Amino acid sequence: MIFSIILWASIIWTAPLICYMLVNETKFKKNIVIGVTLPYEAREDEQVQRILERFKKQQISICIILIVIAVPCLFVRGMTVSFTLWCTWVDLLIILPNIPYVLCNRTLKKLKLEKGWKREESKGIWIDTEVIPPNRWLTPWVFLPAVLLCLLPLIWDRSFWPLYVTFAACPALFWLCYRYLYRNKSETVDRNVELSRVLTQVRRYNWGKMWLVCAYSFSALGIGTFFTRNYPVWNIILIISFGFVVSVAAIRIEMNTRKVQERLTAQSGKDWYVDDDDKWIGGIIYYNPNDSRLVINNRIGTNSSINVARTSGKILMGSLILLILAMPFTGVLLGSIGNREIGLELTETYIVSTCGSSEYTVAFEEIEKAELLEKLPDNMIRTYGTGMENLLRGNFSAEGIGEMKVCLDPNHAPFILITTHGNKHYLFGSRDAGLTNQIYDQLELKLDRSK
Amino acid sequence: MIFHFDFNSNIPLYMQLRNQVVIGIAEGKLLPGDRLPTIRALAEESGINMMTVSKAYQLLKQEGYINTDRRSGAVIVSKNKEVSIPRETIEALRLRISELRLAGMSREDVINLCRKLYEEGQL
Repeated sequence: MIFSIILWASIIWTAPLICYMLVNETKFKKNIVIGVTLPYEAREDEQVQRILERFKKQQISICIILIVIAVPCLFVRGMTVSFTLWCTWVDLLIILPNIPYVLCNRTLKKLKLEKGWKREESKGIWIDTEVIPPNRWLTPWVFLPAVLLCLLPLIWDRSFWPLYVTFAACPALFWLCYRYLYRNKSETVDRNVELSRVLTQVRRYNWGKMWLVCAYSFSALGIGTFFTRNYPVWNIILIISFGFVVSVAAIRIEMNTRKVQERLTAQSGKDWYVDDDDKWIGGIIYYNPNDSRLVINNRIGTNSSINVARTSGKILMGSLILLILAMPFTGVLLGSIGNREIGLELTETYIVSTCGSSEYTVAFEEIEKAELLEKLPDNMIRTYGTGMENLLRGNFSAEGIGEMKVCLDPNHAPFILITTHGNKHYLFGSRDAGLTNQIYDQLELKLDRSK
Repeated sequence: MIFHFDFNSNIPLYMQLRNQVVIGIAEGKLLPGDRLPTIRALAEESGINMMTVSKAYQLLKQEGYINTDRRSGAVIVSKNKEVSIPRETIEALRLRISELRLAGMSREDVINLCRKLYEEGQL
């Protein structure tokens, strides 16, 4: 139940957030509404207003449906089933709101043709050298303190080093995203050069701000993890809060950009204006064989998209679709990992515990003592490895013991705790209690003999 | 200066760019000392491959219309600098004049048309 609550609390709030963002697309920005470029006169058109109102209602209904579906899922028991439901719900969250978007986009495009709002297609592209933005970027040094802050806990705690190093890699990755997931292109809306310059600056500023916020939020998460590393509940609360705060901050930056775009282009569309609708399938997917760039800027807001006319774009989009469709199967995959056989055996000289590709071997001569535990040690925390309801495998730490290597099913006691001469600890267990007891007895015998 | 690229044209993109810069200089839209956008910036803005833009700039440099410098990028050279007229240009002019002649234009009409275009800067 707690697992379900944590799982759903981490995602359920994104449904109203997505709804809010999509409903915002019904406001004209850069003459674009739901991915369709329309002239100024269309803003007051009754038919357009009616289509937009219907779209808003559809989005709100989808949001309510998604939340209603999620409520009974909270009471589902079992990690595998909960996770499968969660993944399926995430799929619905991604796919469902886009269906009315594409339909609304199609209706508006049809209306655009009927009303004679579609201008004759101009051959090729026009580039005004006056508005081409300079090639200036934030220096990577701005992101460096965030990396160092993530590594700071290593001074006091080395046991969780893979975690801190991963956190430190994130701000570095964010700099790469900042630098290479943005296309340094002008935001041309109409012939107003000053407007284009201001819109470009606003977008660039907010793009940098978003990645900086992400980088320093990760530093905060890294340091927070250091303080909560021995308190799993607080750690989970920290991670969920972090996800929420970062998402809200990123969306706030996105909405601020949109607001500026809306305000600055409020009077545009009366004369000549840019219309790239033919390059956007359904208003969502960019397809332009004449564009050699893979990463392109979305027309609205700060985000980027990919050009699916390029081979790499097709591969990326295909992979993304496959990943989305495969998500519900990850629950099944996790289930199969959890149900893997846990082997425990004694050879002539070793005690061996295996699970999947992992194998833990301890030589008898290294063993100082072995204990049979009827329950798991208190406050066991995973440092690195698998931590499922029916499988614990990898590096863990526990109160009174310290670091140890673990391979067992927590639901099947007893467990064998081995301490070596070098003060290393191993905690093994089989799913068959009889076998664990038998191996412990044989191990004790061998240890007595060797003494 | 506004550049136009027609992706359906038979003229290669690098030649379209080169031609527009030459016309821009002839019409006075691009003056000596004016900077052209950097190769990267123009490629980013237009979506044209960087190699294509680079090819056009190399050609313009070779023909003496621009100077390229690591610091200042591509700069239009001053008018008094001698620009050699490529043999292909003269051949192309010969071909166009022949076409006009075959279309029935007299020598005076062709010269008048050339004068008009030269003075108006409308090519």
